Amino acid sequence: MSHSAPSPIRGVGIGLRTPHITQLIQQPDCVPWLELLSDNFIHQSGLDGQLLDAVCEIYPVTLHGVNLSLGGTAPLDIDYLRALQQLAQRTRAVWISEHACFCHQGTAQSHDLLPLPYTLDTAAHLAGRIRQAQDILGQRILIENVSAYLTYTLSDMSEGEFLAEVLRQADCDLLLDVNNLYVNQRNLGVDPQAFIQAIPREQVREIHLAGFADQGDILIDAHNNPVAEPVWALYQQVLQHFPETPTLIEWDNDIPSLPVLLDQACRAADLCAASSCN
Amino acid sequence: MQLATLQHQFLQAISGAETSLTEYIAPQAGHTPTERLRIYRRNTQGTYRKTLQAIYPMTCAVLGASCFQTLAQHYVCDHPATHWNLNQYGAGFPVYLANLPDAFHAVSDLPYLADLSQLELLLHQAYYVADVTPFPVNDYAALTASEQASARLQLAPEIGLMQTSWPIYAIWQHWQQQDSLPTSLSGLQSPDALCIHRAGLQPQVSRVSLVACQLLTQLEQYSLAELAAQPEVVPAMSDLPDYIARGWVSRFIAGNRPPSSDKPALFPG
Repeated sequence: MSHSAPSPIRGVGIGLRTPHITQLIQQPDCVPWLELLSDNFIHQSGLDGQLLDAVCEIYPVTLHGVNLSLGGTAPLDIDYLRALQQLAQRTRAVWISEHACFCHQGTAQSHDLLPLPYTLDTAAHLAGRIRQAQDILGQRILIENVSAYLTYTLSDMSEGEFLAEVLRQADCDLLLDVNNLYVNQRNLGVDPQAFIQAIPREQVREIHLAGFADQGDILIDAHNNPVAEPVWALYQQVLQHFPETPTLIEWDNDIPSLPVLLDQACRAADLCAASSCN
Repeated sequence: MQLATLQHQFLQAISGAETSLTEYIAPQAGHTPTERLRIYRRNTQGTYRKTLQAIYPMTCAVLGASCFQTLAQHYVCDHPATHWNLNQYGAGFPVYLANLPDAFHAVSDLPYLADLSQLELLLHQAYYVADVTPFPVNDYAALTASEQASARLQLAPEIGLMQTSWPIYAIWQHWQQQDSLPTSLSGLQSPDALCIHRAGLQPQVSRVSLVACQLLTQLEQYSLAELAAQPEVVPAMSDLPDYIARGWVSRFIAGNRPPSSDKPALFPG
């Protein structure tokens, strides 16, 4: 898989959510790009299919999935991957991203992003499945670091070292979720600076920002709030290492009006633009 | 511990089972390993409860948010998801409501609730089902009279049919127009036979006659000739061209058996 050098998208996009679709079609200049949740559109039927085509006529889009279970031990779902490939063709998606986690095994489903033990064996396992997915999709993909609420005694590497090893073996790129990094710092004591240092600069292709739910003694990656101030601060640090990286605002639950989302995108765009001047 | 075993035990823990996975979770301040696994269980169950709430808004409004959440939580505990596609989750909820023991007074006082939730399920399924091409009129017309009579018509995948003793259509209509439930069910028309379909890609509900509902329900099972021999559905057969024109019937399967009666007139003239 070859690297496509300059990013085909720039600036700060937002995740496409149903309540905003009509407005986004009517106001085509309000955001430079959109991210679609691939699992919501994979069957491309009915009204969703029609709206999908209308949106993709206006905006460059990326696809973001949650169900591939790249770290799982059940065989990869080839039908799902082929449907994803068709969706990528229909939407002319700039790239496809997924998560460094597992979600299911056989018919047992979690619909949550479950953490992997950070070992060389697991890194090789995950990398092998990413390569298999990339072969079927015919393109390099991005994998995202996930929020976690536990770590395993089996782990003998840091999260950053683990992901760097996966990127090296799989020849894929990273979608760096800054909110997840902060959540893991608070929940599990992950060192964000060590994480950032471990990741090769040229392999961070996209950044995610989102809001968490603060349950007092634990942060939940709920995507139901504005980006928190400490996450903005960490984002500025991340941009020092990965300047001008296309960034996305994710908001999936208790979805606000579009202007609220665009305000968040504006703030990120200002920080992103400032990072290129430093 | 092997990765496959770890993942199996993790998913078991999410479903509520005791596992030895806790021995492999690093001790950290704030929460025990069991509590940390429970966070994932709560997140997963919350996702499924939200899914039910999205599919069944009228049912939720009838029950009230608190009662709905309690019933949804019971359902979620007993019905783990088995498919990655969340749009497929919750299809058993109407049957679950219909079979609740009388001890659930909130539901036993609402005998129409299971039918209302069935309507919501059919609307949800009609939205997400795959698109199909229109009925191949020319291909059907090219069949011989005998082949036409032995053909079996197939409903479009979004079509859902239901019969109910309750004024479900009126409740749905009120919800569509006023985003609320009628204050009283007395005086509303029932019983109902309903066809759930798409109009302009949006799921819609149309009231049909009981005879039409019977015909449409049996359409895929019998050839046109066999249906023409059933007196209870014959009065509705003249409406078949209309159902085809509306997209409710999307294709036909040519029959292998010789027809048992003359060709029914699907396209008169």
